[in-house]
Amino acid sequence: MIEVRDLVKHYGEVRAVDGVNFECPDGQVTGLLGPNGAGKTTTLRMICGLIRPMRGTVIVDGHDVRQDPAAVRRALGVQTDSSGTYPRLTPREHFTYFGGFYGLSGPDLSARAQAVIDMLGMGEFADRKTQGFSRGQRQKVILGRALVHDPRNVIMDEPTSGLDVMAVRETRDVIRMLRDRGHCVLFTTHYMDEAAKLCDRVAIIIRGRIAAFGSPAELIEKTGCDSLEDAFVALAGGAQGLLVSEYANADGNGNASGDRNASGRTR
Amino acid sequence: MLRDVLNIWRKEIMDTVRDRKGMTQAIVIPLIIGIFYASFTPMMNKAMTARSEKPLTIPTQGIEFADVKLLEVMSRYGITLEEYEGDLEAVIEKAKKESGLVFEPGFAGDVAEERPASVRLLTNSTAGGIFGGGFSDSRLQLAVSTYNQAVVAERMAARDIDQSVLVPVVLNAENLATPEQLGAFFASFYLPILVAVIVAQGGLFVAIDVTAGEKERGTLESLLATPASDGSILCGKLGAVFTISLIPLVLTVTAFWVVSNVMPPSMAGSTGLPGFVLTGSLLTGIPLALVVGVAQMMMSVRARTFRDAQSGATPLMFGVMIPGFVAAFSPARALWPCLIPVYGPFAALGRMVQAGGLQWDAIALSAAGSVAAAAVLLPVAMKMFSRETLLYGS
Ligand SMILES: Nc1ncnc2c1ncn2[C@@H]1O[C@H](COP(=O)(O)OP(=O)(O)O)[C@@H](O)[C@H]1O
Ligand SMILES: [Mg+2]
Repeated sequence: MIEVRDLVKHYGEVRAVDGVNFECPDGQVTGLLGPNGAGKTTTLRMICGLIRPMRGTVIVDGHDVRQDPAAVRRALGVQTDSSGTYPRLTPREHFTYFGGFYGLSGPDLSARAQAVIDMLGMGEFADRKTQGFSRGQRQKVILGRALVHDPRNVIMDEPTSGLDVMAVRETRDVIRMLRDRGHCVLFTTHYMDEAAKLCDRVAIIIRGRIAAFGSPAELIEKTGCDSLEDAFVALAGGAQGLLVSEYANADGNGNASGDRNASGRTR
Repeated sequence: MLRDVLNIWRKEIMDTVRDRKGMTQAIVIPLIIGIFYASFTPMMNKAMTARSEKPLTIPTQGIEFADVKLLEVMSRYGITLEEYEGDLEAVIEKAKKESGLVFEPGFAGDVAEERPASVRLLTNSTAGGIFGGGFSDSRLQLAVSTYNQAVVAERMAARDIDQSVLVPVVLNAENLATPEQLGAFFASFYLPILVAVIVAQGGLFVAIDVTAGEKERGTLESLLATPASDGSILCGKLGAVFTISLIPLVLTVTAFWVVSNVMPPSMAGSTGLPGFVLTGSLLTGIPLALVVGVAQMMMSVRARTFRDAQSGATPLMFGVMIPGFVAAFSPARALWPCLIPVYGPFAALGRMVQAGGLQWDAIALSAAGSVAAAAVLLPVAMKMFSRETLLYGS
């Protein structure tokens, strides 16, 4: 369970995050949907204590990130924005290295690493150095690294961006599987249909503020639109860079949304 | 906390050891430098000793004009004059010969009749390497001035004057340096430089790789998102930098010592370096490596890329090497300079090599200086090493 309370972070004049509130319950997938530069990454970084919020806080499973960031990080599995791998280490070594930070050791640690390898279908390349891995193979290392300690809460920053179709599908399957096992999943995206397909609840973030929050059905009802896509567009207003789908062209949709509902702007 | 430190330390060591480029820098290059210095030192040493004792044959023109007594004095100095046919001036100018003498006709007669006699000494200081022209030149001058004194003495005696009026100072110079001391003299010059170069470079690659390198590869953020504290991350990485930096130090100093000992004395010109040189270098160099490691981490923390960090760390490299050179060129006489951070270890090393044995007070002072400097720098590094500076630089 992740509770985000009134988070604020400014970089000089830039109000990267400007009073964000939402909650991610266990057993549900929450999507943080917004165009580039909306403040998604900054919000996630404050959740895992990489950046200290100027105001507000985050509570993860009862731990306050301002008071006990280490406890919050222990309760989280994080896939960060910049997600590289160590080229001279194998996936298994990545998993044991990261697992080691969560109190795992010895046979328990090896067993967890193996469990992740099996879960993500990495048998073939689990013991090869990650140098030269394909984007999809690297993605599995990154996911496995975040999941090795079987965290109750998982946060992912644009987990599908830059992946090929197969890797996108596999990543989405992992997200669904985590939900089915009762985990709390929060991920960011700027693809509308991804949010619609995967999320139980969606927080639309624009210019550092939450424009709308609810289940896809609630959002449709609230906006009076007849499809999820239209609802997003109505709520997002003229925000550029919000994509209907990862295969779509940014321009076509961005322009259309601007015409349809200028009043949808949140500020 | 300690578990996280060890986890990071182990991973960084493994990562570095698998990196061929990093390992080459850590092992092969220092080894080459060490072997180079080790072979160069005894060679210099041998050349110096050999040159001052080796018989000299000087091409000469007009030997028939020379005085017999002069030839006698020359031979006492191991100098043989040999008649040279041809253009003596030209061969010396072309550096084919180091030096030569030209006696003018009537030399012996001038001396006998108490007229100023003259002989030309031709030298080319660039001929025959650094121990060539210059050396034979000074030996010839010494021989001639000895001869002059002998002639003056004779003339004074003939006039019944006590010759000591003309000799206010008698300088009896004797070089009492043993071959061991001569070897140590060169080592006291080379070792501080060698240790300085190795320590300045040893852990640099790793220091950059575990900070800026990790940022550049995009793995740093994931590491910072784990529960490991800033302090454990810094200590784990610093530990790895320190450990790796010891590899070239130990290897190089050992290679230096081994090479200088396995060289046959005929080649080395002196007996090999004693074992204390090895111990002394390590005891002064290891604490120094710790300070340098902390400083290198501080330099690389703010850099965004490997390249950035490398250029930022260059001044630091000189900051370590220059004190080493200063200690090599002007060895400290007093004990207290051993306490000065960075300079102290080199000073202590130089003192020990010259004294010919371990000096525990110098070692203790230099280690204390290093540990104190590390203790001051570490909290500063801790402050700099926060998650936010790591992510965004300064
Ligand atoms: N370290 C930083 N320094 C200055 N501005 C920043 C920094 N990080 C983010 N920003 C700015 O804050 C805003 C939100 O950024 P971000 O959270 O990365 O957006 P998103 O992830 O939604 O694309 C952007 O305008 C970005 O330029
Ligand atoms: Mg982002």
